[in-house]
Amino acid sequence: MSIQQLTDQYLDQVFRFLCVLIQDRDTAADLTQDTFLKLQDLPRSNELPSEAYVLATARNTALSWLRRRKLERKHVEVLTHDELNLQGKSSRAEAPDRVIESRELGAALDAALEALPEDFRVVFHLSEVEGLSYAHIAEVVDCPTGTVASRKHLAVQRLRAHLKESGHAL
Amino acid sequence: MRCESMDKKLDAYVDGELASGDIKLLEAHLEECAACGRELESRRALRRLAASRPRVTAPVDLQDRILSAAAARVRGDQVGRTPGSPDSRWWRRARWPLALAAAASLALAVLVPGMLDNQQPAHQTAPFTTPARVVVTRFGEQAGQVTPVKFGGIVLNRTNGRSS
Repeated sequence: MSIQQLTDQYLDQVFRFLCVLIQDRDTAADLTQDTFLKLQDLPRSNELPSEAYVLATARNTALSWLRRRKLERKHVEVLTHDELNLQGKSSRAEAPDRVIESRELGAALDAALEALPEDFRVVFHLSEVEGLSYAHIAEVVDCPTGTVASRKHLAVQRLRAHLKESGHAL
Repeated sequence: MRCESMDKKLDAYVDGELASGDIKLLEAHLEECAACGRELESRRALRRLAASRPRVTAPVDLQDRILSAAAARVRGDQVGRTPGSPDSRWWRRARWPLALAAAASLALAVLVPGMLDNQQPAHQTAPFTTPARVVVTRFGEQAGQVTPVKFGGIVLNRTNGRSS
C-alpha cells in the first residue's frame, strides 16, 4: 500500500466528507492532507485500509482540529455547493422548466443539509452520498448502529420539513 | 402494525437495513395503508434527489500536494527533522516567534554595551574617545597666520594647524 494508491482510492471521498463535516473548502483540503499523512504511518501492508477506517481517520483528524481551534459551527463560513468544484451533472436532456425546478429543488436540499446539525448531516451524507451501511457509519462516527438509524431517521424528517417550508414538498 | 411504528422503519427499509422479520410486517402494512405508501414514496424521492446532486471533488492539485508532503516527510524521518522545509508545520508555527527572539537578541547586543558604557567611569572609556585636537604651530609662526605650503606641486594656504 502506497500513499499514491491511498489517494487514488480515497482522495475525493475523504475531501467530500471533510467538506460536509467542516463546511470550509480550504480547511477540508488541509485536513485531507493531514488525514493521508496519518494513514502513511500505518504499518506496511499490501492491502488498503477499509473505507470506514479511512473516513474514521478523517473524522478524528477533523475533530482534533476543531478541538484545537475551538471552532464552532456558527463561526464557519457556510459552503454552498455552488462554491465547490462540481461534476457529474445529469447527462439526460431535460426541459428548461424541469431543469429550473430541479435546480431549485437541489439548492433547497443543499440549504436544508447545511442547516442540519453536524451529527445528522454526517450520517445522511455517509448513507445517501457515500452509500455506507449503518454498521460502517457506526464505525466511522464511533457510535452504536441504533444511534445511526435514529440519526438517519431524524435527518430525513428534518430535511423533509425544511423542504416543505421552502415550498418543495416531496 | 400501526402507522406510528412504521415511520422509523421506513428509513431503514429504504436503506436496506431492516431485519427480515420487520420487512415482512412492513410490506404487509404497506399493502393496506395508502398513507404509509405515500410516506415510502416521499423517502424514495428524497433518496433520488440526494443521489442526483453533483458530487464534490478534491481540488486538482491536492493529490500532488499530499504526495509531495508525504515524500518530504519520509526524507525528514530518515535524516531527522528538517524544520526549514516549507511543509514543516513546526517551522511555520515557530518562524515568527524565532524571528522576534532573534531581533530582540540583536537589539540587546547593540543596546546593552552602550548602556554599560554610560555607567562606566570616564577613564575606562578612553580607548573609544576621539583624541583632542592639538594645534601645534611651527616655530616662528603665530596663530591665525596664513602660510603657503607646497603639497605635490599644489600650493595650499595653511592656517596654523589646518588647510584651506
